[in-house]
Amino acid sequence: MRGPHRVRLPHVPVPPLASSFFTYVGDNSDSVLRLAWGHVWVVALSIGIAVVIGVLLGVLTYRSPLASSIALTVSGLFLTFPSFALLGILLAILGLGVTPVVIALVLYALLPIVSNTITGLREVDAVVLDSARGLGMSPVGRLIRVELPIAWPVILAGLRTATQLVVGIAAIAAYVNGPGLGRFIFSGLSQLGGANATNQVVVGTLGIIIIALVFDLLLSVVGRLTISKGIRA
Amino acid sequence: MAKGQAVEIDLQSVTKEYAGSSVPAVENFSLTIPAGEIVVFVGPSGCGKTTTMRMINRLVRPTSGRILIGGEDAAEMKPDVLRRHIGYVVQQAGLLPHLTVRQNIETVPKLLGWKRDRVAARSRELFELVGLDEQEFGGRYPRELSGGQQQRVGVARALAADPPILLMDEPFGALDPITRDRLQSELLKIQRRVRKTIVFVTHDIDEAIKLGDRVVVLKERSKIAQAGAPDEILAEPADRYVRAFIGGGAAVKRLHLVRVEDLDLEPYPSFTQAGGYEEIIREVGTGGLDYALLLDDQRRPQRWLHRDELQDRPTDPGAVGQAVQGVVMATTTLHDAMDEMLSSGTGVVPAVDDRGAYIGTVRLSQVTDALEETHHRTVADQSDAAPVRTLAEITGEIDRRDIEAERDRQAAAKAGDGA
Repeated sequence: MRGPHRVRLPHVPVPPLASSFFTYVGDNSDSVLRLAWGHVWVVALSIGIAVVIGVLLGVLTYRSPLASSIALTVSGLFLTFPSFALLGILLAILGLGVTPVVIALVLYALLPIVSNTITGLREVDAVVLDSARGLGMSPVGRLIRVELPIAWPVILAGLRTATQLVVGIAAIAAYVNGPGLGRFIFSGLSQLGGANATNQVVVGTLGIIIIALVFDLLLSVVGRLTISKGIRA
Repeated sequence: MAKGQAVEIDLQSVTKEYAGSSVPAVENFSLTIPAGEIVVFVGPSGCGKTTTMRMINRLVRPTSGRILIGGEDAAEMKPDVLRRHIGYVVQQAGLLPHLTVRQNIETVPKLLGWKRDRVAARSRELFELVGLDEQEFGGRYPRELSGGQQQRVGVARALAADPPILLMDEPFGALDPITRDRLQSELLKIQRRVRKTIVFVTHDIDEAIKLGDRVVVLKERSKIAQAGAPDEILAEPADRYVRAFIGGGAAVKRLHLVRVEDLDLEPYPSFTQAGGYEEIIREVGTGGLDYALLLDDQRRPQRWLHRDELQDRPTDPGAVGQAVQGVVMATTTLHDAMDEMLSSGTGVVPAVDDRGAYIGTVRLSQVTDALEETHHRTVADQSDAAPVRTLAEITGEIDRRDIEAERDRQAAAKAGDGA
């Protein structure tokens, strides 16, 4: 198709107009919400799994100094792995997707939960335990009705720490194609200087901070509702 | 084990050895604890008395020997089941901090699977038994209670399922002396109603004498130095160890064994405001007495009024005379009654019943008489009776001072009349 001859103008690179932050969020609200939601549930899922494993590990090991120090060392070891390295290893084994992300997050969440479970259970007053035994409570009954409820505030504090930690680390999930607000950060970083690069990084970071705050608020409400008034600080 | 009905506990050559220790904690301990009695294990700390007691509910497993509870071998029962039928009270109560007072008390009935209304009815009874208001305390948490209140809850919780046996491990050891004293008296009051077989551990010989139907003095490895009625132990200590453990003033300690209700209480004239003055003035006059006791409408002692004050027929008798300084209960021991008189500085105290209603008065001279009596009985076989004599003199002294002060007052009153 040939049109009338036009004068070709020399190509002048016009920097694409960077939209303002709020416009950017407004224009991309769909993906912001989708990725934020992805972030939330991958964290919630990981924490949920970590609580079960962590509390179980704590319960099984707190009576034995050797067993509990092994549990603490191993779960502490995971924290020393750089998150990229850990994800890289898991990626090699499990491929891309949610599974390696969740596994990595669970491993990172373990230490504060295991360590607080052990501390909380050990701090239960010996006199109280003795009288619970004297009342005829079975070992399992004592654990469920006495030890865990009394240790619960400490366990919950560990849970809060673990959640904060994992909300941050979950940003890396984008690296292995996992869900979450990390996608914005990575994409922003990879085109630094490009249009909206800064906006992307800021959306990702702010979103993660907000999610962390909301989780913390929720957990403090859970604490209010579940910690007995008799032992609340 | 029959529920509620007290049972006998028979310890047969019970020994507890701990790994890594060459001497056993408890060695060859044999004792029969009769049903329905309070037996107190008393001894210095580390003598194995607590270990011995804890073998009864298998919190400590005996290395050898047998423990029969109501004729059944405790070793053949499931420990948790056994413990639900043995009340257990420890020092500082050991209440479950995350549960309310009511939930604490209801622990064992719930473990036993009682129906809800039976549990509720039982806890109502227990609040009443240990003297705590259910409305006020039911919903509180242990940390919101004083030490004494916590221990009341501890006792209520131990009695909740109406067990035939109660084990008490220094339950009042951490309380202040006044609270301790009151709870000891209330334990005796409760025991009159519930009649359990109670094993009580303490290192306080006075507590042992006050509470025990039988006292078992223990030395290291839980060896029995002497077992018997408190009176026997005070009168005839088996050896130097027991004598040293009893300490000085054995005769004074025997005042623990006599209660106010055992005395002939003097019916000192008393009146209520509603009753008017005529009768009481006549009564005081004919008795040749100086004082009358004002009672409130529930017959609780309020004030001492001098006969001159009665003559004035005051419209508000609560504003004249002297407030009653101290009262003693019918179940108070003479030892504590004497203490009350000495600390309130009066030679006469009103005695009251369970509800605080006036039943008569106790004079310090009655207490000293009782002291004399036990003194005479013990002086023959007691070489260390010297402190007793001094204390008798002290109390006599105070009684005399009281009489002198009274005489002075009368003289002053006469002088006033003359003017």
